[in-house]
Amino acid sequence: MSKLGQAKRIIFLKTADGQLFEVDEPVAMEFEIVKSFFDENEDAADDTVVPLPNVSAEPLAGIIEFCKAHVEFRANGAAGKDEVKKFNAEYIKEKSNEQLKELILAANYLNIKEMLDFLTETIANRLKNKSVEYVRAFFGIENDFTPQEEEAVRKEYEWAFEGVDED
Amino acid sequence: MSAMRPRKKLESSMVKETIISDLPEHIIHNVLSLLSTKDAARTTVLSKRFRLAWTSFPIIDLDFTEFRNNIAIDQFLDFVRDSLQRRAPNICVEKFRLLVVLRSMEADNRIDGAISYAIEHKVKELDLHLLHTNNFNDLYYKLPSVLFSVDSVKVLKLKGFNLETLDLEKFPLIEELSLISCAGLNNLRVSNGQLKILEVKSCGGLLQIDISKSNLRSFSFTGKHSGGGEYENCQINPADCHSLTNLAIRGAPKITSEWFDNYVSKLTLLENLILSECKRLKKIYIPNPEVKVVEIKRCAVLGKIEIVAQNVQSFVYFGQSRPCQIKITACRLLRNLQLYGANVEARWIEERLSQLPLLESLRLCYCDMLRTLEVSHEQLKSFQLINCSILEKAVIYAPNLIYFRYEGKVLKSPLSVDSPHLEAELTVDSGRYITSSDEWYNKLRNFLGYFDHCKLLILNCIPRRNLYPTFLIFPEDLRDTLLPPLFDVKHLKVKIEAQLKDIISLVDGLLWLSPLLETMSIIDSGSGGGESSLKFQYAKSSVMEEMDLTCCHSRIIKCWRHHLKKVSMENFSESDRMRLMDYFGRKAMRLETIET
Repeated sequence: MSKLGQAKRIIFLKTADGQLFEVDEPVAMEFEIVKSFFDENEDAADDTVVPLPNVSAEPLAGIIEFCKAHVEFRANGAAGKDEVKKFNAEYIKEKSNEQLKELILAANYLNIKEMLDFLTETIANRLKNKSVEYVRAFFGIENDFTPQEEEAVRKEYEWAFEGVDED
Repeated sequence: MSAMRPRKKLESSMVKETIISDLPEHIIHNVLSLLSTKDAARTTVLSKRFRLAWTSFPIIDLDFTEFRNNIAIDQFLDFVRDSLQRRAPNICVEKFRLLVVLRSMEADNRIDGAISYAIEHKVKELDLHLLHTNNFNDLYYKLPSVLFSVDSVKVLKLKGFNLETLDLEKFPLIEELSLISCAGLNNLRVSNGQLKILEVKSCGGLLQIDISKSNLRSFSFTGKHSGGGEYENCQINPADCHSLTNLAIRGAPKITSEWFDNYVSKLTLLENLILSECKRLKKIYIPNPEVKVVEIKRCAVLGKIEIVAQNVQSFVYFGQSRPCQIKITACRLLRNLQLYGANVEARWIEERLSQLPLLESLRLCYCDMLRTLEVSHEQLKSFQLINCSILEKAVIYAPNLIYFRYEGKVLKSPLSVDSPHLEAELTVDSGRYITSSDEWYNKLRNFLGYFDHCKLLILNCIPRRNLYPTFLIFPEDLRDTLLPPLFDVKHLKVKIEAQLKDIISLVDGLLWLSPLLETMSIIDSGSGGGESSLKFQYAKSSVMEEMDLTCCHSRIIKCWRHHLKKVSMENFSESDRMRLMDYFGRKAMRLETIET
C-alpha cells in the first residue's frame, strides 16, 4: 500500500452525473461515507473508484474546496481562528440559496459534520429576526396555507411576529 | 449581509419552486435549534412543511423572558398549554426547558401539565426554572408528583422548587443534576454511579450532602446566604469521589483544613479547584498531581497555602490583606498568576518570577506591601498592576510584554516598562492633588512621559474617581512651558464614561500631549459605548513660513498645527463633526483634506 511510500494517496470519486474527481486522501476522509467505504473494504485497490450516486459534480466541487481549506487550517493549527471565519464568510458569500440547498443535501449525504453545521448555521442566520414574507421570498418557499389557515397559525404565535426587521 | 443582496435574489427566486422546504427534516430541526424560540416559532407560518417540522421538533424551549414584552404571565402559560397540545403525537422530547416568572407559587395545572408532557414524551434533558416575581421571597414551587420518579431523564436542572420529595434513586439514568435556589431538602444523598456532574447552589435548609460510590467528575457547591455575608452550614461528605476532576466550593462554613486534607488532597485526578468564602479554612495543602487551575478566594482565616503539585498552570488568590503564607515554588509550569489583596512583599514576587519561566500573565491588585518592584521576565505577555496603595516605583523589563495595565496613583519615581510592542492602559488617581493645580499637571506630565514609547496608549477617565476628561487637558500656559509627554506615541485611545460635553477642548488637549498622533479614538460609554476616531496625516516639509511664527514660538517642539495635512473622521455625531471640521479648518495651517 502507498502508506509505506511518501507519495500522497489519491482517492477517486465518481458523481451521479458521471464526473471523476481525484481527491487527496485526508480531504476525502472528511466524508464519513467515503471513510466507511474504505473501512468496510480494507483491501480495496488504490485505484478503486468510489461511486457517489446522490451527488452531482457542482456541489461536490464546492464541498472539496471547503474541506480542503479546513484540513489545511487544522494542519496549521488555525482551527477556530479568525482566518477560518474569514474563509467561511467568503465561501458562502457568493452562494445562492439554490446552491446552498444543493451543498446541504450533498454534505448531508456525504455525512460531513463540520460542513453541515456551518451550512445550517448559515441558513439560521439568514432567518434571524426576518418577517415571514421576507423569508418566503428569500428562500422561495411556497405558501401552501389557505388564508384562513395562515391566519389561524399566526394567531397561535402572535407574540412571535412583533419586533422583526423591516423587509 | 448587505441590504441589497437579498433583494436581487428575491426576483430571481420567485420563479423557482420551494428551495429549502425539501431539505430533510433533521436539517430543518438543526436550523430550528440554532434559532431563538421566537424566530423558530415564526417559521411555522412559512408553509405546511415548516409547521410540521416545528410540531415534531424535539427541543422545546419555553422561556417567559423572551415573551415578557409581549404578553402577561397568564397568557404565556396558556400559550405553553396550547402549543404542547398542538405538537405532533409520539415524538420524543430531547430537551425541555421552561422558565416562568410567577406571582404565586401555588400549583398551576398548566405548569404541572407541561412537566407531565415532557416526562410522558421521554424527555432526556429537563430544565425547569421557576422564579417568584419577588426575588427575596423564600417561596418555592412544590415538586409535582410526576417528578418523583423519571426513567428517561439524563440531565435534570431545577430552580425554585421545594424538593422535600426528591429521591435521586428514582432517576436511574441521571448524569447531570443541578439544583439552584431550591428548598426543602435536608439531606442530599448521591450514590448513583451514572451521575457525572452535580451542582448545588443556594439551597436553603440543606444540612448535608453525602456522596458515595460515585463516578462524579464535576462537583460545584455554593452555600445559601443567611444574611450579613454569612452562609448556612452544610456538611459535605464526598467520601468516594475518585474520578472528580472539577471541584468548586463557595460559601461553606463547615469546611476545615482537616476536611480538606481528608477529602480533597486525595483526589488524584483533580484538575480544577476553586475555594471561595470558606471561613474556617486555616491552611491548604495541595499535592494533587493533575491539578492545573487553583483559585482561592476570600477565605477569612486562611494563613497558609502550599501547592506542591507540579502541573499547575493558573493560580488565583484573593486575600483580604491578612497575612497568608503562599508557597508555590513547585509550580514551575505556571502561566497565569493573579494576586488580589495578597500580603506579599516585592522580593517575594521577584523571586517567584525568576522561578517561573513560562509565566505569561501576571496581575497584582491591592497588594499593599509592594513599595518598589523590579520585574524582569522573558516570557511575560500581560502584566496588570492595580491599586497597590504604597507602590512608589516599578521597573519592568519584559521584552515580550504586549499589554500593561496600571491603575493607581501618579507615581513620582519612574514606572518604566521596557518592551518594544507595548499596549499600555492607564487609570490614574489624583491622590491628594487638586486636578486643576499646576503641581498636578507637572506630576501627570512626568508620569505620562514614562509611556512615550508605547505602540498604543489607552487612557481611562472615570468620573467616580473624579477623573473627568478635563484632567487630561493641560492649561494653555503650561503647554508653553512643558514638553509634550507623548511625543512618540502614534496611537491614543481615551475611554470616558460620562457623555462628553466639549469635544474640541479634549481633542485639542490630546493633540498637545501627542503632537504627531496618527490615530485618536474616543470611546464614550456614556453615550452607548460607541468608538469615534480621528486619523491624521502630516506633511513632511518643515520650511517655516511667516504664519508659523505666530504660533507657539516659545515652544521647543512645534505643535501639531504646523504639519497636519489630512484628517479623517469616523463615527462622530453630526454636531461634533461640524465642530471638528470648523476647528481643524481654522487651526491647521497646511490642511489639504478633511474626510468624514
